[in-house]
This record gives sequence, C-alpha cells and structure tokens, in this order.
Amino acid sequence: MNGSTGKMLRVDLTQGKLWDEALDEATLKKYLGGTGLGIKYLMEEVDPKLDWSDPKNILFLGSGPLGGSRVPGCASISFVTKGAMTNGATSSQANGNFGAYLKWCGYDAIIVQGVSSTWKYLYLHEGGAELRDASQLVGKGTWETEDAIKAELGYKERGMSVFSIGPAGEKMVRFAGIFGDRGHAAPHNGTGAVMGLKKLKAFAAQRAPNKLQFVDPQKLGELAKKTTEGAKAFGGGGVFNWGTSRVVPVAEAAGWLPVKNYQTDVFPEKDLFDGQRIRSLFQSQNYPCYGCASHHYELVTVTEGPYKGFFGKEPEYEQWAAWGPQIWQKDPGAAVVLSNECDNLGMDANEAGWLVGWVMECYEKGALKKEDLGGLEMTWGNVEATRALLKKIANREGYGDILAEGVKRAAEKLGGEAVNWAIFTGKGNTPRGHDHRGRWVEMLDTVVSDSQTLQTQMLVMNKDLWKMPNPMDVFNPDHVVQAEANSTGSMTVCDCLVQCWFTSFCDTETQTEAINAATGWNLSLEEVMKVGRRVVNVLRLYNLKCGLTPDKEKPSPRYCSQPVDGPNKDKPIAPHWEKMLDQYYSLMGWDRKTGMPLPETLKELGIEDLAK
Amino acid sequence: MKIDPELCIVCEACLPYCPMEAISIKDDMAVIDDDECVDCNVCLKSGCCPVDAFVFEPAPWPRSVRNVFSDPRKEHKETKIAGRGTEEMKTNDVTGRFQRGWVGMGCEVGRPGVGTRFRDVDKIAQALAKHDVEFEPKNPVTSLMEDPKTGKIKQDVLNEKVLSAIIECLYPIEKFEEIMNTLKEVSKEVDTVFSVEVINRTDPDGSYPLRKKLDAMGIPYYINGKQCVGLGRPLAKV
Repeated sequence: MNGSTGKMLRVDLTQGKLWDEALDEATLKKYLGGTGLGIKYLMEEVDPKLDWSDPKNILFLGSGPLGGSRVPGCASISFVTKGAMTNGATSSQANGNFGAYLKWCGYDAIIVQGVSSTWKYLYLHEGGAELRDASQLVGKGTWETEDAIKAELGYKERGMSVFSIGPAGEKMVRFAGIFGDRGHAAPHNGTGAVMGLKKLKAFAAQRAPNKLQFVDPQKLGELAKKTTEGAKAFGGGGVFNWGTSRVVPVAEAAGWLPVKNYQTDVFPEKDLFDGQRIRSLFQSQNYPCYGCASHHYELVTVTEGPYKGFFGKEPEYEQWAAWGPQIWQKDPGAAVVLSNECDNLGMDANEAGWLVGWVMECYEKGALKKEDLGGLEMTWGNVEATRALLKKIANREGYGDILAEGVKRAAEKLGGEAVNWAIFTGKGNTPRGHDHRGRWVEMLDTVVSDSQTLQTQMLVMNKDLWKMPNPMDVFNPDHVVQAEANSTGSMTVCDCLVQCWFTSFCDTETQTEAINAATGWNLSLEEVMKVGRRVVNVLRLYNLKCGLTPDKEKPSPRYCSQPVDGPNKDKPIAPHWEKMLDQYYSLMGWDRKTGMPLPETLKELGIEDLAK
Repeated sequence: MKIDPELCIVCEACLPYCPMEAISIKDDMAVIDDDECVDCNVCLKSGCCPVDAFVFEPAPWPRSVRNVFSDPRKEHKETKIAGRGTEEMKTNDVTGRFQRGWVGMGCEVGRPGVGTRFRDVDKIAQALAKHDVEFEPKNPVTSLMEDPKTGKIKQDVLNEKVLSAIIECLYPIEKFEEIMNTLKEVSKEVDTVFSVEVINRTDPDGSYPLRKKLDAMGIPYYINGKQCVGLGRPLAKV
C-alpha cells in the first residue's frame, strides 16, 4: 500500500507472542494513522470501565502515512493508551526517529497487550520483531537504557531508535513518560506508567533500509522543501534557528511564563534563559531528527556555574520554564541538570515542575516540613534538594510515594489551604509549562482536551482556513472560544500524521498535498480537517464512558486565579469560565449537560456507530 | 567522498556546500555523484552535516589524484606544500628561477563550480610541449606526465576530475606570442575554463617586459606585483 506498510505488529506480553495484523485502507483514510488509529483501537479493545492499571489496557504506538518519508517532522511517534493521570484516553507524541524506523522495519504501528511476568523489551529489525530479556535494564535511566540496548545489539548512535521508561515508569509513577532518542518524550497522562504495568522496559527499532512505496516521491520531495521553508520563516525562524528556549523571554514579557508556582508573573532573570544566549554560551551540538533541517533540538554541555561540564540534551522551553522560573531557580546550567535528571528518571517535566513548585510553596508556608520530606529543605530554587526529591518520587520513597500520584492527588490528600496552591485540571491532566492565565485559549484547550495534549493551536499557518478571529484579542472570551472551537483538530491532524508541530506549524494545506502524494487518496482539504475533528470527537466519546464528564472541566483555583502582577494583572479568566464553556459546547456541537456530541455532529463526522 | 546511508537524514544542509554540485537527493537519500566528486572534502570539513554522515577514505590510484589536487589543505608529495603550484611561482625568491629573458608560465585549469578532467589538462600541456617549453619538474601536473618532452598525461588519470590543476613551464621570452596564440587555439577544444599567468623579472629600470607584446596582441592583463624582500636567495645563480 502506498504510504503504508499495510500492517501492524501485535504483541501479547501475557503469552509472549507476536504476530502481524493487516491494516485496511478504508480505516487509514478515516483516521490517517498515529493518534487517530490508536483511539480507534482503544475504543474497540479497552472497556472504558476498566482502570488504566488493568492488564487488559493496551498501549498503542503508531506512525502515519508520511512516516519514514523525507517530509520534515514525520519521524515522530504517537502513543495512545488509557492513561494513569485521568484514567481516560491519552495521546502523546515524541519526536526523534522511532516513527520512521518503525515503518522501515515493516510496521505502521504496534499494539502491546497483556502483562509480562518478567521485564522485557521489544526489538524491531529488518527481519521482524522479538521480545528480549530486560532484567539487566531494570533500574536504569532512559539515557542509560538507550546506551545499554545499542551496546547489547551492536548498533551505532543513530543506527537504532530506543524509547524506554526510567525508574519512575517501572514504579508506575502516575506521570511517568516514555523517553528516547536522547530526551525526546511522550510524557503525557502516564504513558510510562502503562509500560511499567506491562513490565515492558523499552522499544528498540533498527534503522532498517527504507523500502517504503509512495505514489509521487518527487512531489513529496518538493513538499518536504516547502515544509522546511515554511518552518524557517514561521515566527521569524526563532525556533528553527534557536530552539524553543527562545520563547522564555517572550513568554515573560507577555505574562505567560510560569513563575514561582503562579505567585508572580515577573522573572527578572528571563534573559539568562534566552535560547540565543544559551547556544552562544554553552557548547551546543545539533541533534536533528530524520528529515529535518531545523536547529530545534540540540545536545548541550554546560560551561559555567556549579554544573560546568554537565552534558545532556538542551531543555525545551517547557523544561526551562519548569526548572527555572517555576521553582524560582536562576542558573540555566542547573536547569539543564534538572531537565536531564527528570528525563532520565522518566517523568513528565511539566507535572514534575508543578509538583516541585507546589511542594516549595507548601514548605514556605509551613504546610510541609523538613520531617515530612525525609529531611529535604525545599526552599525556593534549591537545586540539590529538588534533585533528591525527584529521585524519591521516581522510586516512590517516603513522601515521594504520595507525590508520585501527581499534584492533584497529592494536594487533595494533604488537604486544607494547600489544595488552593496546586496547579491542575479537574480531569487530572497536566497543563503545559505556561502561565495559562495569560494564554486563555490554551487553558481552555488543556481543560477540555480529551487527548490530554493540545487539540488546537493558536499559531496555525493559515488563520483563515481554521477560522481564527482576525485580529484576535486573546483576552476576549468570545474570541478565545471561537479560536479554540474553530481550530479544534488542527493539532490532532499533526498527531494523526504523526508530524512535529515545529516543522508543520499546522500547515494543513501542505499536509493534505503530502498525504495525497504519499498515498494517492486524493483527500480534500476539508476531509483532512474533518479527520482532526473526528478524532477529537472519538476521544470525547471514549472519555465520557470513562467518566470524564463535563463537571470535571475546571481549572484548579490556583490555575485560574487572577495574576497578582505582570501584564495580565487585571485579566481574570474565572468569571468568564462557565459562559465560555457554554459557547464552546454549542460551537462544538456537543450537549452541554452530558458532554455528548449531538447526533448531527456524529453524523457529519461519520461516527454514529461509536456513540452506542 | 561518500555519505553513510545509515546516517543521512535528508535535511539537505550539505547541498549548497559542494563546489561541484555533486550532491543530490535520490530515493530519499543524499547521494554523491562519484564521477563528478573531486574529493575536495569541503562538505566534510565544513561541518555542515548534523549527523556526521560524510565518510572519506583515501582512494587508490588513479582516483587518489582527485583529493591531492582538490583539497586545498592537502600536501602534494612532489612540492611538499599544500597548493597546486610550486612556491617559486609566487615568490621567485628561493631559487631565482625566473631570470631576465625568460617567461615563467602557469595555466590554471578549472575553477570551483566547473573543475577539470585531466584530459583537458593533457590537451593544453601537449600544445605547450610543441614549443619545447620546460615543464617545472617539481610541479604536481608534471609528475603526472608520461614524458615531460611531449606533455602527455598518463593514460589512466585522463578521466579523473579535480577542482583545478596548474601547469607550470618556462621558455625564452621570444616564444611568448606564438605560445599565447597556441593557447587561444587550444582553449576552443577544452571543456572547462583556464587562466594564464606569466612570471617575469622586471627590466632593470623596473618596467614590465611583456607590456608592449600584450598590448600589441590586445590581451587584457592584470599586473600582480610580488616583492622580493630578500628573505630567500634573490641573487642565486642558476
């Protein structure tokens, strides 16, 4: 099949068996791949009433029709499962090379079912796939696991892609993620905890020879170029040239950098974290994904401060935010250390950042004491105490065992005033590393999201196509709701393809052309946009059955509090919230009370059968 | 030069770096046209490849000539210097090789972006040899001649391509016009570009001895003064 290997791999860990299953073209046309394909199988195979930790839960990972082609950003991989944070549907994407290598090994996707009795890892190669003993990898961090598997099987650095869990995943920390290709992550909603449940330590795919067939490789080549040019130009090329760290000072100026657990919006040291400065100061080494010319992703050696000489990946914006301003920590070198430590332990940096910031505020205000925390002095910006705390969480030691449940559950357990200091959503998923009180569209998106990641993007390539208000007032509730509802599915299309947003910037037109050049399906732009909305609605249907009802669509009190300073001081979102949801439901074609997509919505998207 | 197919990520970063435009994308992989590549190592040395996919392994004869002629930092075993000609052409300081009444001549065949095959170098060298010029024995091109009397380049390197090569020779000043006419003729037969440089000592009064001849022939020229500062042996008797 053009653009597809025509099959996926089924792994039954209980029986220790592997087999191939055919993929049919009609399904692929309806869901594209990645997240879309994953939610289809989750819906069919995992009873929503089961807990995420039930052995019958599955872990899906898949590429899309452009995976393994040279269109930039399409070597990414999407993981779908019933997640540990919300006990509902999850889709989380990681960049890197796994999606491309997976397809070159002969599979569009993998479904892992059952639970192994001993630790295993899955090895994919030119000749097929096998489960291998992972007992020697238990306890290892994600970077060490990558090294160990490559060494064991005799692969060079880029000859294999390894995605694994760290100690946190093994111990089923609720916000454990899956990490690979030197710190790329699918961290949302406890994907790593599901691997831990299954006693599956890692996925390892050889860079096998590329034998994929595409309908029009020459056209795909032209579209690859066009995509690169688009990425170079988008937003002045800031991310293309300097990575997402470029965003730190921009975010502070606009009041959406999270500072000191939302207690302020002012971070005077913001410029120390600027990407351009970081790359001039520290030793940087480009570490791109397959097909990509961007300098988005680099490895870094710290060259100044107490952590001079530390080597790891350069943190992404969200990690700078978590390990800098959010915990009131002002040394970029220390932020590099904490980012890599968190990756290596295998935990989502966003949730970990909210958690550590909350613990620090509790410590400051006396709600948590040194004795509660195993002797750790969790003062603001205390790097070594944070390192020690992260290890305790990953290993579920002492109070770390409670924190390993995530900030919502930990705060509710501690109770009292401390609940009001915690940043979380009613569904239990984790906001990204922003102060969303200055970024209302994304707060709305985070709280209503059924994928537990972004479903839309304010920064789409063609604002008219996605009917974004133009010009847009980002603090006008009407504009915010219209932007969110009208562009719902724009990010989901990326996640079905599975294409990195930093190359595509939701350029749906080019994506559509590329899908057709790969597959020959001749999908219209409208049909591709509809796939995004369809997948959002399927995720919703599933989550409603999981009990993620509309009453849970609330930001925590601190999450939607009024900023006390900074540019957005006089802009509270809370008074508008319920009205915004009313409008949003109406625009989405959903019933306001039950949350269910209305019959005409289901019909338009061709998913009536799934609502039964 | 080769690109390791297990490393290339098709980011196209290398494409603008190749002086011969020998890198292209085929079957989702950056590949080098082996026949056009002159082994100059510019791609490798530029550091443009984010995944270090360029692999250079010194080639056996006759391909080995590509690297020594095309990589500006590679030392020629004939001259012991990195560069296509002899040091003497630039300074005349060491051996005093170019005396009054003689013309030192260099033909620089091929430029970045064009390159040259040795079959074109051969045509020019053979044309020069008909005028009984003396090819500079220490020049790398001379070392590739079957016989410096005929100027004929060894058969097995004729198809080798390099970024550029310099033929160096010496002849009495009286032959200047006829040799220039020969070069004009042979330029019609070669499939590349070449420039001609002549090296003279000035006349005792400091004037340039070929000025009148060049003006009469209507050939535009650019005088590039090289000062002998006496650091070598300017008074050497040869």
